[in-house]
Amino acid sequence: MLRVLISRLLGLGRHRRMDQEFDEEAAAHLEMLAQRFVARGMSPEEARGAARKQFGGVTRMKEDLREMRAVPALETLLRDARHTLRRLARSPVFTAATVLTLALGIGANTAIFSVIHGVLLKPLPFPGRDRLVSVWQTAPGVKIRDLNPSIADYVTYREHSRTFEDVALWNGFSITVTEFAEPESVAGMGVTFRLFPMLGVKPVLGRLFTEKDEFRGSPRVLMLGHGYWMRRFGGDPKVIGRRIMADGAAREIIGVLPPGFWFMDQPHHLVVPILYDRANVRLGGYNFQGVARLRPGVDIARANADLARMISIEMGSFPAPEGMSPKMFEEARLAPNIRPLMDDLVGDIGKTLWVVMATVGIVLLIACANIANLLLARTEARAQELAVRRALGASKGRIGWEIILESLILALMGGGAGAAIAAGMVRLVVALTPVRLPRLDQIAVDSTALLFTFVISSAAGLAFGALPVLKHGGVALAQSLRAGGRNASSSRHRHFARNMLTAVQVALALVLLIGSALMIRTFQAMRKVDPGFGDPGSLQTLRVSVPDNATRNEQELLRLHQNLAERLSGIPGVSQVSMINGLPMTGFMSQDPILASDRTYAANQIPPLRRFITAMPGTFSTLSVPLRAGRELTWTDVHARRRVAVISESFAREYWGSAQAAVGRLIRSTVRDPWTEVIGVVSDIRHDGVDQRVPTVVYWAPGGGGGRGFGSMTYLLRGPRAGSESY
Amino acid sequence: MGTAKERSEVLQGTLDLMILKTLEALGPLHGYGVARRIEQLSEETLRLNEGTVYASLLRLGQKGWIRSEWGVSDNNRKAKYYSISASGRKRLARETRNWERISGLIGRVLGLESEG
Repeated sequence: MLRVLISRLLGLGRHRRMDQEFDEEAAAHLEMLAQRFVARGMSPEEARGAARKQFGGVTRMKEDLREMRAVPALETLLRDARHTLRRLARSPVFTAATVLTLALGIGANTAIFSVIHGVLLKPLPFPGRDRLVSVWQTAPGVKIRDLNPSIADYVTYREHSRTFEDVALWNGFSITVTEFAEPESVAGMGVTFRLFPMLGVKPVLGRLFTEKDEFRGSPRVLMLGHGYWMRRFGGDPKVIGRRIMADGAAREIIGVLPPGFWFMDQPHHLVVPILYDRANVRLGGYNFQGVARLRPGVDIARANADLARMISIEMGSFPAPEGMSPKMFEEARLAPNIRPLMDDLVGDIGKTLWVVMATVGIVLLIACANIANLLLARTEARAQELAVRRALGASKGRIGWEIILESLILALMGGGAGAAIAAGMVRLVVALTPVRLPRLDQIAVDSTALLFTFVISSAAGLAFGALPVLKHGGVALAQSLRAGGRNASSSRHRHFARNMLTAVQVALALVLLIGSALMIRTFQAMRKVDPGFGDPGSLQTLRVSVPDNATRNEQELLRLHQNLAERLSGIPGVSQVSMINGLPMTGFMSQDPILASDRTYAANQIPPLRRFITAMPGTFSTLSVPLRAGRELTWTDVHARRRVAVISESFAREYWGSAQAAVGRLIRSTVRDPWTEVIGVVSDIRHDGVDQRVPTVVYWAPGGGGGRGFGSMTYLLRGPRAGSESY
Repeated sequence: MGTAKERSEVLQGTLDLMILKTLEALGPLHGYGVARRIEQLSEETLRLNEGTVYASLLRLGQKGWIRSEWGVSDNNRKAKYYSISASGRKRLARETRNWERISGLIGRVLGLESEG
């Protein structure tokens, strides 16, 4: 019976071909018959007629065959389903409990699957996306796992690569626009000219960058993001050719990006070309992100081999930057580290999501075990009825099918309700996500997620339906008939399966409990870790970027910062104001080697890298970071351009044993720099997060020693009303 | 309708059995060959529309008792060849035993009646 059904199901989509096959067979048959009659002396005409008569009506036959191939089971299925639904309706509490349990289990699974699908599984929206890679290097010699590409790398890749079809650099930063009444800081990105063509991005207006735009000295140009164009220019098509003041320079608008352009999970409102001077490129300056598209058929290993070859070409092609020797670059032991672009986009969140998926999977398993138990009890209650039906001739298959159908229908109802719950949950996840999820806009309960729901519902239905079938499908006739409904469940055999199920449920629940307890413990332990700065609740931060052309020189810029800080501290409720260029836990990362005057270093070896941060007077007291020795910076230090710095406690201990011993020591970043005096030691700050190692830091005075740019600083305002609208 | 169907079911069963036996005895055959063999065996007592053979062949195929594949006939035409499968042989053996038992039984019963 089943076999016939299967062969009919297989034949479902092949009606026409099978009809044709029969036509051929019939034609051949008729012809052979006719030949036979001709051989017996009939005329061809007569023979054909006789053959047709003996064969019977071909059309009629064809219809009969077609009917035999059809599936009569559909009607039976519907009847069985109606019957099952009626039976379920007679026990509404059981049905509701089962469907609700399943709906929660399946809903959670569908919701998490939707998140995983949107974040991890959906392909990137770029052409040739499988061949898009991010181009990193690694430098074990100086303990850098992921080294960003430099301009020298870019030029080398462009001129020597055999495996890249296309390569581009980009980086993200904020651009200050002073064109309009109020200056604003806008999310921007720098790109080399091939990035957009590589990603298949076409401008809705104007043109993309060309190679000429990235040569230093070419006219300054920029492109607008679609949203910014609408917001600031009302979608005016005449913006092309207009100049606006951005980052202190007049730049010509040459094009507008298409709506919805996001790259590496960030919107980019303004895009400028990355500028360089081909004739004066030097090694170093690893400040960019690299993207490439591999040639078809090239895998990551081959691309890495090609990159290794290019690294040695590059070392011989460009001079080292001032104060460094080419030998130092060799000591860094640069090596290729290419990986799929998708990996960079998704990052570590993938692991977390799969853990969550496994967790809700266990929850669903528990739900299934629970329902299997309920179904087992329910089937046991029907044991006598089933036994009678078996005795009356119902086949094992028939009874098993009914039980399975019941659990499948329950599962699909649960799945339907679960999908509805999931749709709500996903919206909640997107709105309340506690972590930064990449590609958040891609998350939705879509057709793939619904297919997933259907599959897990059916699997769940089969899983918890199988147990009662195994136990009751082959009902021990005599026993059940004799025992009768009431005593049926008292036999030991009966109890075994249900005890097993309970054991499985408890075991799974225990796994979950232990898992979540461990997670909570970890979380609490992390909460207890001292981040190094005090009371973030009363600290307000704001980023201020002073355009290059707003001040004539560094002295003026520093005075501007001091004035601004003093005026901000005049706001009622603000007790203290300072600034820093790398706020803790914002991913700010600038590092370089440090040499101390009382240490010797092997020639041509790069000393250990330290975090470089620019501090200002009052930075540490405003952040409530305790001073371990010496003193903080003062405005006198700053305006007198004294070469002074504050270092972190772990750095002081590493080199001089204690905080006190470090005060007065001399440090510098390269042998060409003058010495800078350590005037203070502050307690360690966990700049990279409480679950990361404490970096050893040098906090430079602005403009003295290794102090980097300080046009753009994060202001720190200490006061009880931080975070409120009253500022 | 019902009775017509029942009657044809008995006939079908008989025809199916004959076809299985034919395929077992003669090896792979096309529909025309099967029809000729049955005509020959029944010595003109069983008059049937030869198209019916194809319904039987389809039914046997669906049950997995015979297989079919395309080949070339003696006169170089494309033709579908049917052959008996292992489960078909088993089925045939069982049906043959059944048949012998029942016909033996019926024979005895009818014999008794005539004696009585």
